[in-house]
Amino acid sequence: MSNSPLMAKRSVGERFRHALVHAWRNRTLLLMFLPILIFYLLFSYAPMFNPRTGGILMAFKKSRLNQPFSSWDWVGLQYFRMLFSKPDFWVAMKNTLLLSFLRLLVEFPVPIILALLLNEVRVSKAKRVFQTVYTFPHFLSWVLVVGIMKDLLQMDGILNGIKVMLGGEAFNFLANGSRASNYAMLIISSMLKGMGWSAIIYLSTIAGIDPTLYEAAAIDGATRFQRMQYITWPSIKPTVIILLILAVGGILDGSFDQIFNLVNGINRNVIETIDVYIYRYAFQQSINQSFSAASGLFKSVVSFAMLITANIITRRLSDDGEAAF
Amino acid sequence: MHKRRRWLLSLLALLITAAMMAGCGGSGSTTKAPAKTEAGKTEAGKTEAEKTEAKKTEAPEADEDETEAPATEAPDAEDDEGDEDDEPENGVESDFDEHMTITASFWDIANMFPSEDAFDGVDDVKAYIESKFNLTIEPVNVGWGDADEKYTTWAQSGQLPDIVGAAAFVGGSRYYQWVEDGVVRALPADMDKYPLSKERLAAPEVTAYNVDDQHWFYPRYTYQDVADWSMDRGLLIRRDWLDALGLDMPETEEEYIDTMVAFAQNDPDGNGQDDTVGYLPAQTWLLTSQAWTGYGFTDGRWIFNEDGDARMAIAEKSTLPLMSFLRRMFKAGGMDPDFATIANEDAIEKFAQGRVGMFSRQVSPKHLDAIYQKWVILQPDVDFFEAVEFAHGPLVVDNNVRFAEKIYWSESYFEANVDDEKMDRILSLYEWIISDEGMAMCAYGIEGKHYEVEADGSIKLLLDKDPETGQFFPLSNYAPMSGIGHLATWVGDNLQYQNPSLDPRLIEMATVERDYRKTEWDDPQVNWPLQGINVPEKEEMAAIRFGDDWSRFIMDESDASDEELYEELLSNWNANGYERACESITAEAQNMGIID
Repeated sequence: MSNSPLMAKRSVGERFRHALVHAWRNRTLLLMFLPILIFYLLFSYAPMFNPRTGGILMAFKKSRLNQPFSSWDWVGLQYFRMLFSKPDFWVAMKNTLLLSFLRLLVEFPVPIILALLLNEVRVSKAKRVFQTVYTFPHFLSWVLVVGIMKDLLQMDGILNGIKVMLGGEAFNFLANGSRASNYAMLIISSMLKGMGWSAIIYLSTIAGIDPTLYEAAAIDGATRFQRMQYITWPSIKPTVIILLILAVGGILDGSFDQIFNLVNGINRNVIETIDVYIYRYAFQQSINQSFSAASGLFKSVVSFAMLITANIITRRLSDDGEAAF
Repeated sequence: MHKRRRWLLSLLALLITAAMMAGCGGSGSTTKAPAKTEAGKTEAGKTEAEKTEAKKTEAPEADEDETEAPATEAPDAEDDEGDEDDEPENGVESDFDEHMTITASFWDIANMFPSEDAFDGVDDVKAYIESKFNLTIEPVNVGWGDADEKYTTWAQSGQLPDIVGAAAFVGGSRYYQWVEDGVVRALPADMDKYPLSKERLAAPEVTAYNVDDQHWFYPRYTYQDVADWSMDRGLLIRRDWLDALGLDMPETEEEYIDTMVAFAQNDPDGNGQDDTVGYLPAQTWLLTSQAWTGYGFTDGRWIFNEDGDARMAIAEKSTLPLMSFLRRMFKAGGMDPDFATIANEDAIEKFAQGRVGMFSRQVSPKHLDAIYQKWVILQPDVDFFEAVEFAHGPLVVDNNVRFAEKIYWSESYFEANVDDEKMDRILSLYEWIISDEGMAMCAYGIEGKHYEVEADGSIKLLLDKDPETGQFFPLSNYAPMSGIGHLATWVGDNLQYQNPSLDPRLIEMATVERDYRKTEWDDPQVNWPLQGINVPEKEEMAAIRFGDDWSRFIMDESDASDEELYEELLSNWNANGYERACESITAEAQNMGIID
């Protein structure tokens, strides 16, 4: 009887009703989720299916301005072939991957460390001051930050002035072809600007840890470092993993604003990332828009593949065999 | 309490959602979306008409009879029938019965239409133009830095204004795409009604870009004589620093390098500080673009080489000696180490501050004036005319080759939906701008109020002088819309050699130099039909940045030889499609009969 089609149908209906009841009970949460859902639908999904431009299909047609999508000629993979044949695309790809892996290695742990350290500050006023000071730069635009950086780092800037005063030689931080120097500049500036903001999510996770755990550990004689190692770290580990996976998924998003404002003819070969490359071709070079669409689509596909791969690896490595998503 | 908070949160979420949805609505902004507006129905139109009525302006050469002439139709005529019988307050008779609103973009066009807070005077030029052509111009602003991006975006979304006042991409793939995809409209085949414009359109460097035997842009003429372009590049050297250091004007490459190093290291201004640099180009593209004229033609133009192949001069090996020279200068410490990243305005200021020994920039009177205006404030004790001289750089080939450009630089385009009636209005405006009357008004303002003509025909300005610089305040302070002349031509460039608002010593300095260059230096004889060739391979190599690559070459302090570095650059250019484009353009040039 349980296998009868009627039962199966009822079961689906019941499940639907159950889902509705569940949704109604959590209606406030769902309502709060609504803006973000609409945001992604409007700005990420809708453009992919825009009937006027063809969305992602634009990459496979030769785009024409002021002409309906249906009148555009299909060109197959022509723009992908053009993309892969361009040396500057591979240069941008290499820069993006290198820079992003370095960011993961160096930048990613910094907010975690900062959050752990801030959590150990016992004077709550001092804690708030530190947190504000570290978070504030996040709210400055990269245009402003780069302006400050230029004053600091140009040949007759403050840093070179100090260097020369101490007997060193001035160095052109802003216009040189050295990968090490450019990446150090990018990572340090990005770290200083973003670490306070990124630490907030870890601090909020830490705030949710049951204080009795710390009290019990203290009674058992655990040092502060041991409490951090055995209570705080395991508590924030799932958050770290989720953010790590998200960071891997966004590895091809190479901090557009920062690089766009710092790139110049001298350092382009070492710091231009895929995003800046796509923008350059889409808006600054006289080239068909379908080429940029192909570049963007390729980037999205690779990012998606990386996200899935990272998720699978995490599932394999995690103790309980659960994926993040 | 908990429930109330929950509802507040829900309300907030809904508000955010609504705000987001509102942001996705149709554009109603007049500044961003140059939407077509029905004549006489816009708020802007009403405002301008009201302002026009409110202003009693002096119309140049208007006589009593004209003031009795039938009135132009005000923008809000449909709302107020009585207006139809009103006469224009400034006595200007319009040739057009129907009022029209035209959207127009230009670099910083918003400055020509300041808000009432920013400009509380009466813009007589604006009143005159709006009455004469019975139109309202709605500005659609673009900046020098973002114009290309904005035009690209607007062209894709069908939001271009009626007039794309100035864009400089004729001959490039974007130009042909705009034409082929119907983004812009052609000029009328019969231009007899606009004789001055017709003459301008007949120039070979204009017709070279015709498609289907039609003109698709209006050339914005720059100079009266094409040879005046020779002053659009140049080297200015500190004569007083040479004297202070006991040096002669350098002539050879080594002398130039030694002099620039001395400027950078030997405290030429005697202030006891290490705050000077040798050579600084205001922008890096000046390095190859005939600022240094003694190395032949090294500009980013297509040329035929000795084998009859189309190549770009900037990428040819003949440019290598110039780059090698600059690389040696940089290595020796004779070039400003920030030259590759400094912004144009910052570079001008640095020279005007007295921190640069030799400077590359445009050096015609108008451009010298831009330096001079800063100089007199930043270095009031140093006489510009005693301190600054033209330098010509080392002569490595037989003769100097001057900079050359088309008789126009940049073009005015008209959006595809501009109908014939509107096109007629626009071309009538353009025709007037390039007439003697229009040029005079856009350059000097209203006769009798802003200037008067002397008995010998020279112009005497009636404007106030800036007590700080001793120079006349610009006309834009009194009549901001006088700048609208730039839609059709570079008014200021055209008239700069007789512009009374410039210090006459600047004009004399530039005139002597210009005349020398015209007579003594070679014209590169740029082949304009060759520049106009349109092949897909040209689009594919569009991303090559020759100037950036040469800047890296100059800054390369490795032991690699110049030849090795050049081969590396060439190989990279070829990988990015340069060689393919050369072959394709050569083949097309042969098809067109430009070369055998």
